[in-house]
Amino acid sequence: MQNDAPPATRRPTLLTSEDWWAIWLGGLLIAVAVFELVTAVPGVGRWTGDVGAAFENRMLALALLGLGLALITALAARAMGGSFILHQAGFFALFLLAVLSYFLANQTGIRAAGVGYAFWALLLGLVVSNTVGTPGWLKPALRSELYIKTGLVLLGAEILFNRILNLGPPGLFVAWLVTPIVIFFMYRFGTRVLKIASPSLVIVIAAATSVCGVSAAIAVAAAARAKKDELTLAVGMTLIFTVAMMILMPMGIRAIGMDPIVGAAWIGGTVDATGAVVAAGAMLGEDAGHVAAVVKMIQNILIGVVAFSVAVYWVTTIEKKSGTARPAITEIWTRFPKFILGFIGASLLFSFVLVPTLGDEAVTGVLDLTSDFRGWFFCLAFVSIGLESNIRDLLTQVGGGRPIQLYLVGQTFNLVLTLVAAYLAFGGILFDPVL
Amino acid sequence: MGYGLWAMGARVRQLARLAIGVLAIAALGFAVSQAGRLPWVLGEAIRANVQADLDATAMFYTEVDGWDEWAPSKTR
Repeated sequence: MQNDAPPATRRPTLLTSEDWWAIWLGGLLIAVAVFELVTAVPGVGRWTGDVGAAFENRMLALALLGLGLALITALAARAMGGSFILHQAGFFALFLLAVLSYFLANQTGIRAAGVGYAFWALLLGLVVSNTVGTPGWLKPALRSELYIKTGLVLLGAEILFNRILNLGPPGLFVAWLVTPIVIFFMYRFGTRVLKIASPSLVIVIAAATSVCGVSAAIAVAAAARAKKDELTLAVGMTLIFTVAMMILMPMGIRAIGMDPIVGAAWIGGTVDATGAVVAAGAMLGEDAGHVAAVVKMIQNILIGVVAFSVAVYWVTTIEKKSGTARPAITEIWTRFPKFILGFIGASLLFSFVLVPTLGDEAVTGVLDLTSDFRGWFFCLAFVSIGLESNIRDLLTQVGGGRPIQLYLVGQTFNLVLTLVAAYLAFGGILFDPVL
Repeated sequence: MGYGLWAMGARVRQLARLAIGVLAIAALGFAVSQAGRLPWVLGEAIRANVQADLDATAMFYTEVDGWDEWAPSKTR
């Protein structure tokens, strides 16, 4: 995403750039989890009607988490030229809004409807910034880039390449064949046919549609240095359509009498968010739910390859001035978003070092912690983005409805192509039928 | 005096807009939490999620309970 941070001083970039600090913070939290210095990451509890249940026996732990996150992010802010004290002052209010976002998302009915913390965090931030305005004392803590990139380094740990090899060819066929084709189609359609001026907006919507919704949008937005408004728009669209598809797809599949296994693979390859895939797949039966989850998991893992490819393409092609030669390796290195190295490094570390040495069970325990940390960082990022956004600017991004047209055409193409692939792979044509 | 009154009025309007915004979020939250009550198949998926205790908000596969047990399906 576009860097709004204050200009770096003459100290080495390893200590002054947001990308490197994302790697240091992500690495620190991964180390804390691997060496069991922390055994649980506090969160807001699930609740139905009793508000108190969300915070029962959790207040102190949440306060300590807020304090810990404030300290490490303030350290980064200080190193990047900000103020340690001012960052902390604003951070606590930011953290409070993040807690409120999780509180809303964890209500039983809201959780079942699939409206997650990202939506509430953006909404809360937008309401504050567009009514009373974001207070000046809060602004030093609004480091959405740092929170997103740190979250992405932590997300890298969850991309276990060794697992995809165990998940079987039919799932790989559906998830990995269709996804790149849809991204390519949507990118060409958005830039050439709809003539959307911002290629970063197009690629963020394409990734959210074809890979895995919000998490893919975040990763690709950071890799392509998209504007915050562009990410907000892509996330908003994907959240709304995911809920609609979670409800309508199982209904349609049952209505036309489609083989539930083929239908599940179709859901796994098209519904954006993983939770919604699992929920929609479960509507078709236990085996179908399992197939949907596995296809989505394989697609989730593709996020690393997509983010890396987009970062390289942007540095070598999009950001290259027209008429100039291909940039030299040193220039590519200078422009390359370095947090991607942390993202890929964490994935490789977990896939090929920690899983073989610690074993699957221990790594699952570590990932439970790192994914909770990642959730907090993404939530802080979305609150920050909301607080930095103006609804009028967001409406200009909508640009005569072209981004929505892109999403609808891309998702329709995705639905058709994935249905064909699901029939070929899970309908007993290319591979033996699965249970 | 006049400017002070104008500034106070502007602040009151901002706070009123904030209160309306917060109320709107609360109303939206309440409406979404009741989506399972929608008639016919519209609320069916949400009711099933509540019954099976499924988290439809999970962003990535590692947030879904039991992800570490997912394996390729057996052939028929």
